[in-house]
Amino acid sequence: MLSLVIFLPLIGVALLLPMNPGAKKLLRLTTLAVMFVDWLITVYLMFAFDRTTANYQFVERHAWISSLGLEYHLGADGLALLMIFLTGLLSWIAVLSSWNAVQTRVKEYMIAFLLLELGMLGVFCSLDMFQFYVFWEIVLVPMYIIIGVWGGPRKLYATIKFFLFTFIGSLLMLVAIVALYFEHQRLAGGAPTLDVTKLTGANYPLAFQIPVFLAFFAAFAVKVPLWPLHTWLPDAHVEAPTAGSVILAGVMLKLGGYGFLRFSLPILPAAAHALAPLMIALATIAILYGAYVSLAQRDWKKLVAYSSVSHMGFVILGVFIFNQQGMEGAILEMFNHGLITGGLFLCVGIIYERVHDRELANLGGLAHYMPTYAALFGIIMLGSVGLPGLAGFVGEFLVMLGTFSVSPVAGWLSVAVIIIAACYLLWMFRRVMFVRLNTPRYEHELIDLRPYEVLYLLPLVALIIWVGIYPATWLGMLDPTVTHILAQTVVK
Amino acid sequence: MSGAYVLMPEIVVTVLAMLMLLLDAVLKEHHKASLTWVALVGFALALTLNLYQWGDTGSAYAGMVGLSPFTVFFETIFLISALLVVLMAPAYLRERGLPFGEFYALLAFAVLGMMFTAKSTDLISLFVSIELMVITVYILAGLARRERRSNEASLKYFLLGAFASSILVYGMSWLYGLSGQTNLAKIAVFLRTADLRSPILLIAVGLLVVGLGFKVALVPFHAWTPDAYEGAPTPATAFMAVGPKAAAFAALLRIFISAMGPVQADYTLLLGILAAVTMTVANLIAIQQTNIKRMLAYSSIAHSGYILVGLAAARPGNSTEGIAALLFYLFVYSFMTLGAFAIVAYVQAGQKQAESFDDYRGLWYRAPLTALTMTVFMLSLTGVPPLAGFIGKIYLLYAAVHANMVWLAIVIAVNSAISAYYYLRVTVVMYMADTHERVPLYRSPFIHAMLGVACLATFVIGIFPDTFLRFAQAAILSF
Repeated sequence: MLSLVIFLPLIGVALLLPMNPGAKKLLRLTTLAVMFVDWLITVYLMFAFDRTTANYQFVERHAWISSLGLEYHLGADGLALLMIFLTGLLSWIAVLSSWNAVQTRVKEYMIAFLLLELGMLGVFCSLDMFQFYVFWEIVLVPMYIIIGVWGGPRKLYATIKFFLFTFIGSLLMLVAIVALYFEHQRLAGGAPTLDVTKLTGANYPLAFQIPVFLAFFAAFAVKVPLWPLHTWLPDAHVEAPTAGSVILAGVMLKLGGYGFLRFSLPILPAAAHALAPLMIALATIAILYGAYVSLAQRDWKKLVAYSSVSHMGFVILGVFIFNQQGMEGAILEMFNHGLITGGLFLCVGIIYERVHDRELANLGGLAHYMPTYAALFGIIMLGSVGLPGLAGFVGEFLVMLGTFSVSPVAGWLSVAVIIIAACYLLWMFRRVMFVRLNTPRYEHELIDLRPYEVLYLLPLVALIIWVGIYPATWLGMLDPTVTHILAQTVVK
Repeated sequence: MSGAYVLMPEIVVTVLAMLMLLLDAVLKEHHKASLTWVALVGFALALTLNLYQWGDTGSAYAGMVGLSPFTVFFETIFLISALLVVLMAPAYLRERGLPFGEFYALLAFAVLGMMFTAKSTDLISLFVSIELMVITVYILAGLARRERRSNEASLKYFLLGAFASSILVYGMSWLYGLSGQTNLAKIAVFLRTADLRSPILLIAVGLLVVGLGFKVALVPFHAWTPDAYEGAPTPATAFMAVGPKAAAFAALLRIFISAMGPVQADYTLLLGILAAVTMTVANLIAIQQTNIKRMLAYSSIAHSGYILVGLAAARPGNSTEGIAALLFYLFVYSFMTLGAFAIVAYVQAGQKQAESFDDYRGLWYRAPLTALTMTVFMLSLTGVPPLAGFIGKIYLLYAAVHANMVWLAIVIAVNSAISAYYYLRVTVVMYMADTHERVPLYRSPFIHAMLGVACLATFVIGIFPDTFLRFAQAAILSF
């Protein structure tokens, strides 16, 4: 089943290839249909998932590179499934959002998004570290092309920076994976393997764990992105087309958090504990820094991009305080951030598509011209602020709850950030939605949402409210997984 | 096994080379295009016979040459490269009025030299084979004899190559003087018992490293490479970047593993440092290039550095992963490098001097499939999964870490990141920079077939590497 989920986009690519590049509508429809079906399968998996166990489910296992003991091994637990679901959802939303926005080279654009979806789903499903790495790198290429071809004026700078930052981190991780392969064989004996379920539980010496952890850190922290490795993010976001930003913020940043949870913690618990103070410090700095820098932004998209840095800081904070609330909060925050920031980027994109302007100073009074838009955007924005009853609150609250018992300083600092977040988001909302339109000639461009735009914003808004009001649906599937990861993270 | 059986593929290639010369003299000008088919059939036959010999071992001519899975593996690389070069050449040659027959005949002689290099089990046959190979390649580089650049390339290559050859043979003579043997296996037997701290051995190793370092283009013996690669006709450049390099690595393995296996462990650090310096310097210089052939030349130097890691990580008698990684990487490298050069030849066919990055500006608009194929080769050279170059690189990392050379693995990783910058620049200009020019690219079924094969191989080896890894692992069980 998981193979089908991962490789369905490839069937989409095969369908697209023979099509006439001029038949834009057909290309868009086919892509959308394939991605939507893919998402429906993930919805089915959510129902078929057994919520009482932390075991990997829907497992598939085949020999792959047997001469080196590497396998094709898929499986999902609560954490992975939640991410798979998010990926499926945001992928079709991203394609729908570029229905009118992308008019050049539609065929290649759609193929890039399908391959991107394939790579991301593969990362979340992989239980063999080598296979994980292959998918991890596959993700990089389509995103590089999406930013580089369909991006803004400084696209080349942004896309090369994005590629090099992530590539260097990944390569260091690759060396660490190879080292892990031999170290595990040395300690556990038997056939060499990179099976995640077997790599955990071997008592690697601390002197080995620390460098491997740091190499993993190089790959994962760049993706998150954690301060001070975040500098590629604003550039990439500002230049990326809207759909690219949605996937970048919505799913790709999660790859980093997912990597810490799936690999760094269970495989290298001693190093994780030893370096936790550093991680907590960096996460707190990211939370504060992202929020403060957001306050000063004049570009709407950059503001959202920096707020991502701040929100993703919460994820890392929640992961490295090693308790149930914190980790569940972190995972839920990953999911929420996908919905909320994905939604915010979509909203920015909707305006950009109409007036081709993102300067906050040039906008204003949108609520007057676009009431439906203002309502939906308002909900998403309040979700980002962390208003109780909406998604953002639950994740951040759980993280803070967990943090206070471990590090009150980090706890207080992150609480303070909620206030800053309210400042920059509400200020942004006021600036854009209320007051007076600063560029009167935009008046005629600002027509309210078209039906398809409502169609892709609604599921996000619905989920934001759902998670906010009844988080038990989502936390329930995470409970056993988080308990299991925490049990693996205990230092023997 | 009789000598004739051991040398079956070599006999076919020799006949092919002679036949080429003959046909070139006999055939009328407008029939000469059919020479391409003759060359294809000849090399394909040699390849078939070569693969048929898989698993057999034998030796001939009083231990001068030997057949083993190791030689079959190398000859597979040589013959596949030759086939791919024959496919990419005709369009380029025809447009420039370069002679078909001579090109194919020289190619066949060069391949013959390479095949004998792999098969040599004696210092004398090894040296003669290397010379047969390089002398024909000097001529290949100067084939466009009315072009000044081609002359320059040939002359530079020849002067430095001859210099390197003399150093090599000098090193061999020291080795002979030390051991009293020219047979590689007997030298190994001698070294197992000899006093290993002899300064004579050190001199021999130094000279051999320098001599062969020239041939595989290791820094600091690489200076001839960019000029020779830039000036030579592109199909010849493609061949130079793959064939002679692979053959020189075969010679390195012959000398350092077959003959000096017992003392190889003492030189791993030297080889490791040489590998690290080579890849780092070459990658840093490659970043500065604006001519695609020069860029690919530095890239090929950098790849020599990667490949040398395999030799540095080899521990004869203990771990052979390094050699398997070296062989596998050479196999993979030949497809992606020949593919990249074929694109260069393809783009050049429309415009004679299309070598700067500017000529690739907006290639996607003119020829989307060509640009896409080039992207595949560039990403494979960078080492991005699921392409063949990635598997090759991870296997080298694997060998390096296994041999406790983690530092070398990290150097490879950092270098891959540096190299990503200049490989990506090619893709950037192809896709992301706009163009107004629409120079038509011409059509040649041969080069299309060649690009298709190379591209497919890059994917297949990348996604299902197991068979090929086993091929390489089996090849090193007996030299």
